[in-house]
Amino acid sequence: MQIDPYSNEIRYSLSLMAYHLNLVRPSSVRIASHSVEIVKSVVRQLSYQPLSIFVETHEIQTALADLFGVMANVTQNRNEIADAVMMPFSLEEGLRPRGEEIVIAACYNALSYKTLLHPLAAKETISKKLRTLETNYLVIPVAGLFSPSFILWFTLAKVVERFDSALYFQLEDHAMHHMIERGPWWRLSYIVIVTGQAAS
Amino acid sequence: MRGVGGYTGPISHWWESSLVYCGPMADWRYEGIICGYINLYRSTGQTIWLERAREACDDLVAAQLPSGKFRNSSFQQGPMEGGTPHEAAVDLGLLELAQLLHENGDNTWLTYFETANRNIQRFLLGELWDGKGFRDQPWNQILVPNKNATIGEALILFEQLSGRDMSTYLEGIADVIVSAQELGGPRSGATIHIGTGRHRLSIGLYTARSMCGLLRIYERRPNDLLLEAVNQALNFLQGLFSPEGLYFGRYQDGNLIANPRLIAGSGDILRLMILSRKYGLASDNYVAALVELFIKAQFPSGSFPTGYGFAERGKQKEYTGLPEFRDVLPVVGWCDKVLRALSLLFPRRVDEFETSNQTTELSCGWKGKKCKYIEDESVIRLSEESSSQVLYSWHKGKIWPEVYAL
Repeated sequence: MQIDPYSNEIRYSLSLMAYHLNLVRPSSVRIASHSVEIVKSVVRQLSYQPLSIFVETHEIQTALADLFGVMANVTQNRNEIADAVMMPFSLEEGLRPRGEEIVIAACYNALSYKTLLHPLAAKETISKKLRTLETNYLVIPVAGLFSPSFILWFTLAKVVERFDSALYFQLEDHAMHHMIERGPWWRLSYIVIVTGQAAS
Repeated sequence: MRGVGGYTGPISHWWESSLVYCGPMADWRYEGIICGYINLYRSTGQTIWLERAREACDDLVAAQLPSGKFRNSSFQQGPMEGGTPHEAAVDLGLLELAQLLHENGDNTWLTYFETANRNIQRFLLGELWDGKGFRDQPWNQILVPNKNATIGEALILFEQLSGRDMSTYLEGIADVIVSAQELGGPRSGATIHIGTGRHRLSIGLYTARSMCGLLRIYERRPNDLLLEAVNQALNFLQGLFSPEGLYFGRYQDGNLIANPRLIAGSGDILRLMILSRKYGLASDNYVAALVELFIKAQFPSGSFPTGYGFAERGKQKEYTGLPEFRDVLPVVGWCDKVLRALSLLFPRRVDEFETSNQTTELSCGWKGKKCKYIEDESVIRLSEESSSQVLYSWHKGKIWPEVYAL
């Protein structure tokens, strides 16, 4: 799947992930992703925080040094385990926690409107993806993004956009109020953010 | 609102709001902060204002990335470099201080000049200039008038300090701004925000920022056509006045965008009025009316609300209910514009200012629920009135809210 790190879906997802990371106040974090662009976007969220950062590859390490002057560690070179791992759409890549105490993940959900529009957009339901974490972590879904109510309002906004700017901006704002779903509809949201605490 | 690394705080805006990431950002907030402090220093001679301007510029020097861009410069879009017009606004602040220090014979001016210079050469001229104007982004060909205007203001200062002729760029910028002005109809004088695509919105604050740039270009090389464009814009802007704030703008058909009415977000409209007075284009009465609006709206904490009417954003009929959270939220990147404008009018010594650490407490709405909003010296908090559930809590200077349940 093509990922645009500047898109709303990535920015909002990473921002919520970083918010939840801050709540547990780790001193080190592993950013588990093979995408240079995604890791760069995560590091933007983490700037000004005194965190040791671990990344997956030397290529990513070099990119962070060149762009931000950030000195990250490469996971495979070290035996250290970070306090937390952020998994931005990387359960899908096959990446897994390495024993970190906290996991914060963003996952695409096959059981969402996006699958109706693009059948191959996400291959697995969120429940199946979370099962990969549940053996070792107490997993809590904290938010769904792009919920069914969001897409309903946003579709209406797009329908009227061509002939009524005022109504378009009202409906778009209404849709944005439904962007984050914390109730049961997270199960049908396009993106799901989960946190996990290592099971004792 | 200062924290480690710079000025912090949540952001509400028409396009989108950044309420989760609240950390330091090197965006246009620094333009008004630096220029405001420099105005106060120039009018009072008190070095505390100069020290504060320098402290703000030091944040920017530290925030510059190896590419010449600035860390987290994209305001409402959240933490990303390459924000427009924010990086140009940052350059403008740096160059205002560099110019002042240069005048004072202080050699540290070069640090601030060189920081702006790297951004101007590599990003503005290197990535955004397309031969006719400055693009919105390297990958977006649209020439947005207000963004060009801010770049113009920065380039004029750069020209003065470097001795390098910027005429080619400034002529292009003037064309971009003038060609986006409506010449007749209910929006006569308005600058069309080209970036709004088919909606072709005309927006008060962006019209004002476009004209501030045009006025500076006029002052560099007088041309009556530019001054007439400013005059036309002022007529448009006067039609946006309401006692609760300035209407956001007008739709393509001329109807008002009645919600939100901007308060702190209208600081640059006051600045344009003040700067235009010496050309006989804006009346003292209108300036006084705007100043009164700001003073009345100011919270006990000293901050200014962003606006009023976000609850029905975009609606043509004036909203009259409780203010919404985005209305009352004081945003550094809007309050700086009020500071900058008022500092042109009211030169004050620091000992004349009242220290305002009083608490602001009022009712407001969020998603149709009645809420209680509190801002004190250390926190901004929103809680639901019926259940007392905290929906939002952010400690000033911190990067993230402690509670984000909006």
